[in-house]
Amino acid sequence: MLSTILLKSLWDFKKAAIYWFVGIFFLALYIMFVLSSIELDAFQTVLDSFPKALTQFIGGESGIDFSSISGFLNAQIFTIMAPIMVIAVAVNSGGKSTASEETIKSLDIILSAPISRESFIIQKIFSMTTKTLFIAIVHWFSYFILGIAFSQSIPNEGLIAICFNLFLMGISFGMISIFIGTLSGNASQAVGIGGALALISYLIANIAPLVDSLNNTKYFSLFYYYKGSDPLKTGFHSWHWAPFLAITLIFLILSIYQFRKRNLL
Amino acid sequence: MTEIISVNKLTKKYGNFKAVSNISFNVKKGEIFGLIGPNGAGKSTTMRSMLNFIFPTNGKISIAGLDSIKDYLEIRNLIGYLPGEFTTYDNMTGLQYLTHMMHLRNKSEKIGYAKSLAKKFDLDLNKKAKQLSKGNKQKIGIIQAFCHDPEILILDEPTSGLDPLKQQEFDELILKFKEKGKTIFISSHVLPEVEMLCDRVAIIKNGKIVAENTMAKLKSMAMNRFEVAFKGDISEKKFGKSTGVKNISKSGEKFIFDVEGDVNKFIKKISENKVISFRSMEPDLEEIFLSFYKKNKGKK
Ligand SMILES: Nc1ncnc2c1ncn2[C@@H]1O[C@H](COP(=O)(O)OP(=O)(O)OP(=O)(O)O)[C@@H](O)[C@H]1O
Ligand SMILES: [Mg+2]
Repeated sequence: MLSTILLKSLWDFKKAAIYWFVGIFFLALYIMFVLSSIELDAFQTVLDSFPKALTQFIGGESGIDFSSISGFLNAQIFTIMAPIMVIAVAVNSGGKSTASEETIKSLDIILSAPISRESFIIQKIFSMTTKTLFIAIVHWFSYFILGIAFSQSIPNEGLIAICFNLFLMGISFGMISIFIGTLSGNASQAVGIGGALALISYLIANIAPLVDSLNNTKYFSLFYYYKGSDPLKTGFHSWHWAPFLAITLIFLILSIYQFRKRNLL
Repeated sequence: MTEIISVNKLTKKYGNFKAVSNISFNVKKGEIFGLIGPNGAGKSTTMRSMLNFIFPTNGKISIAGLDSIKDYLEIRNLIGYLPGEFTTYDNMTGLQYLTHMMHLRNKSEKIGYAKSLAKKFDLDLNKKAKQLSKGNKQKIGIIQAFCHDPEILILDEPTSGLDPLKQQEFDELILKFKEKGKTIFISSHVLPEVEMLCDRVAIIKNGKIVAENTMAKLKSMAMNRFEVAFKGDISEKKFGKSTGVKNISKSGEKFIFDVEGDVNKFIKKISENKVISFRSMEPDLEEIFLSFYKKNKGKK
């Protein structure tokens, strides 16, 4: 049947989905608890005494700004933690999608059924996209609900905007990993390279602004388009979606092309 | 009988290495055809080319009149396949896996037959694959190939890991499918099994087919072995090249002759002496195998 591969892939994710949900929700709970029990202004005075380079390295180009709730969430969650989680799921799911079935040799038998290679990989792409979307939505859901519960005024449009960017950045790295997997059929390589690219991208976006001569290199980093416009505070910037959509589309086409024409392992 | 699988001048190169080199053969509808050869001969490469998992460097394969590349999806509807290295998903039970496979084939109604096959093979379908032994996993592979009642079976060393009793069960299954008019293309190392099951075989070595014929013909092409006892002393020198004798050995008072090709000259020659006993020994497949392997040794 047309969707069997996708359904199995999502079914396999069900336990992990529960763990992710609980993990993200409890992290959010902890953060909200901290947020509602500290004086943000007092923290900011301390932070202001730190060198700007240090706070920029940790908090991204705008540095660490604890004077507002969105500044606090940016620094605590959306700079590192949330991207790590979204990218981990996307890259892991993407890198393993076709490649792990080749590696463990389960692919031959699946494809001996009347399932085309195109259909197989497209279902795997859908699966990666769905899992990534799930992690992004859980982030939105947790902070939205807990924001209300703790009477913290988290701007909902900003929250949706940054979670959407998280999703887009996730599927970009996920799609790149799928492509690497179709090149070699080696799942651990695909996951490893995908993860390494994400790390490099993070470092570029966070180091480049520290050095004037490197400042322009930040445009090569997907992390810049993810958070450079500070969506949590300022809402949607649709032109920042373009690099994500372009990368996803390009690697989607390349992956299908590559998977069609290769000798399977 | 009509040809249902036809492999025409198939070559598969990996870099400069020819895994399969210009091989051709036909399998007729309703027969059991064996592809036999040593490790690395190119058996799996040939089978995986048929299923369009790897693309031929040269040559053409057609199955049921369909092109193996252009019409690969249609072909898959006709085929039950068991790969040489079969793996299921560790976290699935046998039943879940077979259900999954039949879903993929849009043949969920066949799960009943799958269950009855499992019973035959003495396989517990409720165990997860990671709890199963190698042989029991292999049974799942065999079942998924047969249970949707395909027209053609392509089986790459299907009995590896099965105990003798289950092998027998498997042989019966194969023969039952043959009775139903299905075509079976099988690669194997288990020579007695090939001998018992196959109507025709092709022997493949170093990517080349070195012999292709019916079982009966192949046997006659191989060395013939005779055990002869003579009255009185006899000189081995009498049996030179002209009689076709390749090798003479002695076991007690008896001589054992290996004769290649036409045996008439040899029989004339021994009848010049007084023969006490004469016995023709059936060459087994192992010997046929070896005689073909040796013949092609050194030739590239
Ligand atoms: N992807 C590949 N790259 C390079 N060489 C390969 C590749 N796949 C197979 N080969 C080579 O092609 C030859 C034929 O391999 P094949 O798997 O067809 O042998 P086989 O007859 O099935 O052997 P076995 O009985 O061990 O299963 C071998 O020498 C193998 O090393
Ligand atoms: Mg093999």
